[in-house]
Amino acid sequence: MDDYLIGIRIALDNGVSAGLAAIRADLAVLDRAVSQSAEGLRALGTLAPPAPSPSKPPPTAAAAGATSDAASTAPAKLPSPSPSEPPRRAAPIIRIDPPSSSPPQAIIAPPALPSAPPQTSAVPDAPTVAAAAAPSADAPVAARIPSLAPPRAVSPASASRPGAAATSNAPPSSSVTPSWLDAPAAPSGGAMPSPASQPTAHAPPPSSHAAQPVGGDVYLDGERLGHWLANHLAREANRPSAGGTSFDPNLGISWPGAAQGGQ
Amino acid sequence: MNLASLANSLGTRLDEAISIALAAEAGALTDALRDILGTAPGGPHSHPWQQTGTLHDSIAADISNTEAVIGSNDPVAVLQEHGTPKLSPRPSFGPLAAVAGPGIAHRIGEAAMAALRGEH
Repeated sequence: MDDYLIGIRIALDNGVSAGLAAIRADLAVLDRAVSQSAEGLRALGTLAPPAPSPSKPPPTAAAAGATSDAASTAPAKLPSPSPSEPPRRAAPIIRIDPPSSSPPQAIIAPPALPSAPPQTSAVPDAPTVAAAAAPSADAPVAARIPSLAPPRAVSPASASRPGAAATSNAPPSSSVTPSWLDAPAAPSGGAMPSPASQPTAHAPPPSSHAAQPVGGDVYLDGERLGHWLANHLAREANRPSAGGTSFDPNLGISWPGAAQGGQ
Repeated sequence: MNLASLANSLGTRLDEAISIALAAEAGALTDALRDILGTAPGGPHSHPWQQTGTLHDSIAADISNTEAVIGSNDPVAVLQEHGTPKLSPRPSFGPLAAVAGPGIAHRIGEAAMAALRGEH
């Protein structure tokens, strides 16, 4: 361009050739590494035993006989179910795990509400003073359900005592008198009997499942599907009602001009 | 052939292809410029009219591997290109470079790609 007073100059920037020159040394190193690897593979091939040829020699007569015997004894293939027989499938297994000490019918019997009137006065296992202690909320349902309550050792004398009848939840005497009430009567006159001569009524010993929840898990094919807990349901049913017994006008929006709060 | 030798041969082939394409484009550009400066009197006067042929014959080209220059050492070429207070400019180099430049770059690039693909 310097040789001309005026002209057109075409200048190219060949970055490809420069890039190739830049990686030329790296490519030489890579070539050496590849050649070393190839040498190593060749050395490994010489050390390894020759691979068996895929073609097998023809079997001899004895081998053929053994083969035929084996073929006659061993099934050619696994037995498959007949086409007419439908494929069997394992039926789902439903397993309910009740507590070890609680009967499963405890979830079937409805719990008795405290306000429910006594059925009859002829119930032989009516709770006495010792057994009339209000069952705690954690007590098993069976202890609060008369029909499921375990038999109590009730003394006939204590059941007929007027003091015991006044403090107990047992119903008053009725026309039906069980035979076990024909025991010797308590001393009259208001005198307290001596402790030694007084027949005692005691509550049954707590059952082994008193602290255990009456519930269990429901399993289907090994999967836990749900959980049932009867004492929880009974406690919720037996708890005192928290709501009002009549219409509360404060619960809703009153119309303008309506009387509110009894005013 | 290892990778280093392949890179060497590829670079050499690319350089050759670029040089050949550049020489061809420079030759074509020289011919186009001479055609412009060879306008006979009475023709389009946007270009200089050929009077003695000195300006036409002064057009030359120098080509190297990655550079090519097409020019003239005739002072009349500069006066015709830029004009004088008494002579209106009748440019030849500038308009030709503006028109032919993109085509030149495209064709040289195609030649380089063909060399890299091994189509050379």
